[in-house]
Amino acid sequence: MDEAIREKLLSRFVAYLDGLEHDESETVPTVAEETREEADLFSVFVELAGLRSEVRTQSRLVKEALDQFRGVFDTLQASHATLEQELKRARAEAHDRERVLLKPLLLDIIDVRDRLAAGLKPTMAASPRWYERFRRKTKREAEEAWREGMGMTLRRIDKLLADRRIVASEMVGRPFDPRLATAVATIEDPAAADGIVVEEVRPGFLWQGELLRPAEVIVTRRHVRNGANT
Amino acid sequence: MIEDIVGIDLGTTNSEIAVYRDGRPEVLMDELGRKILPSVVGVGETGELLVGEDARNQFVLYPERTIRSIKRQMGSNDKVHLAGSEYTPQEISAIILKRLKHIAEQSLGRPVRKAVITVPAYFSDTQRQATREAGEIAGLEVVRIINEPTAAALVYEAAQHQGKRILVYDLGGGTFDASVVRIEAGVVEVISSHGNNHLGGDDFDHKIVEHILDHLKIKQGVDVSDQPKAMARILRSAEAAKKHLSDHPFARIEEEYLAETAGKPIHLALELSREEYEGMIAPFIEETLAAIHVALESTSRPRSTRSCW
Repeated sequence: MDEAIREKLLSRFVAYLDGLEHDESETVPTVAEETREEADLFSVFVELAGLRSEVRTQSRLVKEALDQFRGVFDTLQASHATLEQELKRARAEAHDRERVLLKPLLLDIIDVRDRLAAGLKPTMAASPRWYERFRRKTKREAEEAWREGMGMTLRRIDKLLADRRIVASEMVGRPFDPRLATAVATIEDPAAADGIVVEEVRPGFLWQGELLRPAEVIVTRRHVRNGANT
Repeated sequence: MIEDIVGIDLGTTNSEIAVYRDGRPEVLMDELGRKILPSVVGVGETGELLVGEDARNQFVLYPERTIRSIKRQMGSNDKVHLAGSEYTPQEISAIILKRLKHIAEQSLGRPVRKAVITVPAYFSDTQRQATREAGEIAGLEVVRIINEPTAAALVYEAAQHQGKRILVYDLGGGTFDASVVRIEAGVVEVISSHGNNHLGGDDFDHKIVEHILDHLKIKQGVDVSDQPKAMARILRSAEAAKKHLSDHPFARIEEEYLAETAGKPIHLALELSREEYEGMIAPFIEETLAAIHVALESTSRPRSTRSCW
């Protein structure tokens, strides 16, 4: 046999044997290797026990944190409710204060309006008299212009009041309401129902639905009764 | 939390409720910003109970269904008739107290159970007991009944520690009282009191109204005393002039378009000096001064001899 071929075959056989040995060492564990594997499982169990304990500790901490958070949340919610309540009260107080401060001024404006209306009423109601026919036309026109101007001022005041939701209570023809009006006089009328407002001596006003000034009214009575409890 | 104890002035004409806050008494307002509650109770056309201004508003129309000045009957066995039912004076006063309690609860935002109620110094034990009963009917625990002049002295002289005597001059809307109060070692005691149950600021207003009516008759030749509209305006003007004259030497009384005669508007314009006004009310002032003298003289006499007009 050729030396070269012989060498080649031998080296291939050696390589085969080496490979065979290596496969066997992988599939069949040695005693030492088995001992090491057991040791690794133990440490895994130890680690698992440690991990479980850690998880428990963390769970407890999370639960405590949640409890604290719930407490903080409850406190915040209570504080928020208190704040809301305080804010509501402060708003109501500010509203009341504003009303208390504004009320005298509004009553003064209404008083001026009353006087202006009183000035317009007789002149508007008065029918032309005989001597007026002899007046010069220019004078009548001037008077008419004055009245018109006063009427415009009155309407301006009414609009100013209406813009602030201040409106007259309009009592005439309605049953007397002691919450909105004061009876200053009665008119005996056997034919009429008791307690019907026939005249407003002074008009009443409501401010945003609440009483600002009671009306002063004259009311019907079928017959005047005695027996005042004074 | 300390429970509020409210102070109640249960007056003949008007009543008030107050609470002690930040070192001073504060009169509480109702929902419409009113501090004064007229001491009037009534029953409306539809049978509803009316208290205060609402009841007073209907007095001219339904006097038989409206009760005023119930304080004058406290302690008596009189029955008050109201819309077909009978009431004791305590029950009527209780209605006023209940309304005051409600005002306080609304204003403070918490329930009110305890109260101190003031009564005139001349009130007898029976009248005081009746006032206490009224408070209890209203759902209040009346922790103390105190004299009105004592309450006034406590407010104005609370900081005083030395013994002293104070004269309290209480001129209300319809009544007058002069009292001498002694403050000594923290004890406040009314040692004499005298007054008139039918003298007050309203009489002063009426003097000015009479003056205005006379002025209109003389200067304008008109009598508006039968015109409710004009009279209501004159009364308001008179009251405003009275207040103005408290710290001014003159007051202008002006009412434009007060009335109308033969198609011509009547304006009221006059000036009232404090001197003129003082002349008008001089008899009333003399009366109050006489009451002061009686009260001062009474301090040296036994309490039983003290009287009230």
